[in-house]
Amino acid sequence: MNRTTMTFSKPFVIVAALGALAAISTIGASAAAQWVPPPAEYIASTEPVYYEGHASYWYGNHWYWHDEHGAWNHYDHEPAALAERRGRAAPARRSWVQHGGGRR
Amino acid sequence: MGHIRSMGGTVSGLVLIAGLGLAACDNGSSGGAAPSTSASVTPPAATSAAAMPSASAASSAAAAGSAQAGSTADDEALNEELRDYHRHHHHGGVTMFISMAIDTLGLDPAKKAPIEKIQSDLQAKMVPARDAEHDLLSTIADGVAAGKIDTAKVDAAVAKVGTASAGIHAATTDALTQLHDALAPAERAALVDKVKAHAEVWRKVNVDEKAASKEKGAHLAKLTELLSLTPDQVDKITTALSADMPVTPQNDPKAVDAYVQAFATAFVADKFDAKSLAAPATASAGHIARHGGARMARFFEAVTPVLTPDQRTKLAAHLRERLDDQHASAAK
Repeated sequence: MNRTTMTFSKPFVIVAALGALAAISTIGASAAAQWVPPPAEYIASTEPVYYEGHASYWYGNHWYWHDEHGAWNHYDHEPAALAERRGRAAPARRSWVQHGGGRR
Repeated sequence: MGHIRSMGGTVSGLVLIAGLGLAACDNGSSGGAAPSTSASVTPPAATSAAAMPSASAASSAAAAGSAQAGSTADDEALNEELRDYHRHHHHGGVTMFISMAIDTLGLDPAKKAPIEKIQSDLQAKMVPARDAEHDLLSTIADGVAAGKIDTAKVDAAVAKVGTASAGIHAATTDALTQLHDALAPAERAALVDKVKAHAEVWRKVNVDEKAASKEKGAHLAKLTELLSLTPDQVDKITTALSADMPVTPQNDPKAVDAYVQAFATAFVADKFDAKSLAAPATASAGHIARHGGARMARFFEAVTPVLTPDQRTKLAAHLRERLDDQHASAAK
């Protein structure tokens, strides 16, 4: 490869590399966007299911739990026990607000 | 989809390797960049690996054909109800959050009875604060109905809720210790998560949210919906609320964060001594009651003069309904 070719191709490869980096970022963001842990309102008002020593919450089609460092985790594949539990009953949620004629 | 994503990541990674590698080759003086280039090549593989399980889990969930739990209209309505609850109830401090957390711990039936007994004890100790809050809400509701809130009376009622709430921790240390000892480690961690979640929601609607905010879900937006406020009324209320309440040592919510963190750390440990948390717990309960109560009072003091008689009647009824909310009413 002579010097002229190299000089000509350098911007191209850098642009290609940056483009690839941007594509990766987009993919990463898209993957991350799928893992939105439950909001505080959901944790506060929903009964968890205890599994493998964690309180797990079914939210957005995934099971989430807090690890001992406070970070959210999820199961990549739904464990059979949790799937079975979910099949029996939807997550129980609670409201404390009185609604005129009755309580939710 | 999952395969496309993971392949996309791999291909992008290869292009990146090739591109940055060629660029590095051309510049002999940037030899030192080679290691960093190599390091920067690693993330695509990690990204790709991370993308794969997410896609496969999504496929699995799609195969199960289940609804997006937690994101339905009913779910959002429940979220909004919780925010509204924490806008109106400030007695009890974090002990109230603990009591509410027990409600959704998801305990085995055999364990529920003894835990509910402890919860009843906690609630009994909160009665003076709850009654003080009843007086506060009733005073505000009466003022709304009459078209003028008695601010001196409201301020005195807020102070009373603060004093009563600050006394709760000392009265509940035994019950809190019993609660700790009765729960398994995973249940204690779940309770802590829920207490933190209640504190976050309380903070969201009583500290982070601007009192004059017209954003969807904000207090004023909810009131606009409830009372069919006109744009002119909304503007007048916004103007009245535009000056933020000054933060003073008496109402700075940092005390709440400090106690929630201290409680969280202490409660998940094998040994728990509620008495050691007396100082931050007492400060926190006072802050929640004073800050939350004062903010609520100020909001309705700004709103009331702008309302029509019919709107005032409706709002007063809405506030009196809050007296019957769970954990805030005389009946459990």
